Amino acid sequence: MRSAFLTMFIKEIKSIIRDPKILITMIIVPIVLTGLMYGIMGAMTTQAVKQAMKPGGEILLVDLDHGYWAENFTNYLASHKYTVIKYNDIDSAIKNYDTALCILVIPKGFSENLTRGYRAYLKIYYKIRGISFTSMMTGYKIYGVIGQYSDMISKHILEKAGLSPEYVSSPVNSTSNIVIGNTIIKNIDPSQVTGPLLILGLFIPLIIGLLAGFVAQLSATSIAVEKEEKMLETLLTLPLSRFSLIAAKVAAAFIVSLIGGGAYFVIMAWYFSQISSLGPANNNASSIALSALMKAVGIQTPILLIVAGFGTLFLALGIAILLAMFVDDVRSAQIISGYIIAPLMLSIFIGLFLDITSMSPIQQTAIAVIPFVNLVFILNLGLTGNVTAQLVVAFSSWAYAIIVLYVASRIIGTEKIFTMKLFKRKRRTSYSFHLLTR
Amino acid sequence: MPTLVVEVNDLQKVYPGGKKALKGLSFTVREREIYGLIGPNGAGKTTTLRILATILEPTSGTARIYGYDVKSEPEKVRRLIAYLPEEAGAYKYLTGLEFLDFIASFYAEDEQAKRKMIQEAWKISGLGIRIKDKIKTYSKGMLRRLLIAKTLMIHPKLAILDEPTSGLDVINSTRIRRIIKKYAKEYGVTVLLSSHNMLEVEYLCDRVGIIHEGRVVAEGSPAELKKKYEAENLEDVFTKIVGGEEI
Ligand SMILES: Nc1ncnc2c1ncn2[C@@H]1O[C@H](COP(=O)(O)OP(=O)(O)OP(=O)(O)O)[C@@H](O)[C@H]1O
Ligand SMILES: [Mg+2]
Repeated sequence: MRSAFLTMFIKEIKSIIRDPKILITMIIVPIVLTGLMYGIMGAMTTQAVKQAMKPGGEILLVDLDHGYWAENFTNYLASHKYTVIKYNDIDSAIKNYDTALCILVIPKGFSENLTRGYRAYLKIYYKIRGISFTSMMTGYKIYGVIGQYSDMISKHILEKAGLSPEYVSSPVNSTSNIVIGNTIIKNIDPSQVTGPLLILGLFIPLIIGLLAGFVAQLSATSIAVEKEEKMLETLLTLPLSRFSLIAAKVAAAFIVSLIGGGAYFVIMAWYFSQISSLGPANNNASSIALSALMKAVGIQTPILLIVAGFGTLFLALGIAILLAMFVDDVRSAQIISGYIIAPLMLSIFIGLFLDITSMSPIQQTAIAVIPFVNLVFILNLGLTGNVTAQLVVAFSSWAYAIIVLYVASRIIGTEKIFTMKLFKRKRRTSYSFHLLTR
Repeated sequence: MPTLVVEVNDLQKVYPGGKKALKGLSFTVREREIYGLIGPNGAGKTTTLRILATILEPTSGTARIYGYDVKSEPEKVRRLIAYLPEEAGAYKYLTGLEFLDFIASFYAEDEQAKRKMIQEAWKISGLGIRIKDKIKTYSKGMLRRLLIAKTLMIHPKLAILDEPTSGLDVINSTRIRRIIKKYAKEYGVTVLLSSHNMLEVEYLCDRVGIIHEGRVVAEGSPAELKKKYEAENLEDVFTKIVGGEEI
């Protein structure tokens, strides 16, 4: 005989998949929306950056100098794929300025200055077309070209004078090394360490928060669905323990949430990989950074983060189940689970702005018992070496979860699951029903 | 002495709000009997049936089914009963067949037994090919027939039916009454039902308990009651006991 739990579980999965109330509003719409949002953002950024990096475009040139260097610069532009359209004066150039990158004015004396060893100036007229990312990025292109040209000339001059261009352009330079805990990583850009730090400190807590929200909402909804479908009374009389009933719902919510969370994860990962592929890649350095980071925060940090993450997940779930029992219909269940998710997300963000590294170890340990927020603390606690506080985070989140789930299971086991109500709407409907049968 | 299927003794129920719904209710139901609980709105019929179905807990007094206490051994009780709530529904996004499969899975020992249950339920429901449609497309009468079928298909020792025909038209009501009478006998199911329809009670019930304000105020077969209260029909008996205002 198939177990009652399994029967219930299969029904839950089926109803989550079939019931448009759940499927559309909670899974498809958010996933499609975020997918679309990230997709558009990613595509746009990539597009904009590529466009900005790609040389070429139309430049309206007003040459008031007519000297050697003006000629030389114009040729330089042309050889770098820019289409140069010449105008005799600024006014006519402005009149014809439509889609071109900019108007470039070479003032009188440009060549003379350069020849005599003075700094020469170019004037740029740049049109603001709107706030599109692409148009802003392409605007900067011209500065890049001018910079390159300028470098080329200075290199030339310096070589002629027998000086090293590198030496002259920046006689003093720096290389950065990073200290995390007791480890020193030499010659590394700080931005390469912030990546893994963000993943541990923000990305994972956020994903856990998202999952917790998902599971809480699905479980609350699925309990409310039983009331709305007028199936709760029937279910309570089946040979199915109350515990299995709730466990089946929670398990189904968990699995569906994991799939949903996985979809989010894929979307986000894809987005970030697209963005980061734009910059220079240095896998070797980042793997060194990662292992040094692990050494600095301790191997217990990621482990405790996951442990505490699951505790937090169950805590959110327990609260959702408790609240769902007070609720009569799906709409109120979703509103009520919103009351859990919003503070959850908010507290994760608050945690980011709280600098606990400057606190004393006792203060840190005290603050580690605050549920939800403490997830964000684990990393910083690892950096300051406060393993006790980290353990407090993990234990406290499980302690809360167990207390709440215990209370929930006590209520589930009694008639309260049936009689508890937050909104007394139902009484009125049964009153009108009485009138009808009279 | 015949086996007692239901044994309710001095049952009291106070709802969390403080409302006293049952004030010392007692009655018994014998094996293979169809027993009807009648009484005015708010008398405590549904409360009684919910306690027997292990949904609510009695405040005091005892309720036993085949000797099992509903409060201390609800799991044993649930294996013996099938309950049809007053305002029951079914999952709208399942088909009738899938719903029957879902319920049968809790009771059937194996696939074959399950198929047999579903087959019987299909026949009882009289839904024909509509059984393969989503429940949301069913009329009230079709839904009620499906629910009666799911209650009887598992051959429970005791079927608890709260107003099985409420809100149905004459044709559907008659159909459901016939189903109850036929299958209760065929499957040897003991039935405890509540009703506001005296015709239904006279047609179906071997014995009747009249509940008023949380107590059983009269009990007996329809014939006995009519004789005792010198009434032509059960409706007169009911009015005489409960007291209705003359117009
Ligand atoms: N959940 C509840 N909380 C508080 N009081 C309740 C609750 N359910 C029922 N009652 C009250 O208990 C009393 C008995 O109600 P019950 O539903 O058992 O009556 P009933 O005989 O089934 O009536 P009806 O014929 O209208 O279905 C009524 O006064 C009712 O208002
Ligand atoms: Mg009732």
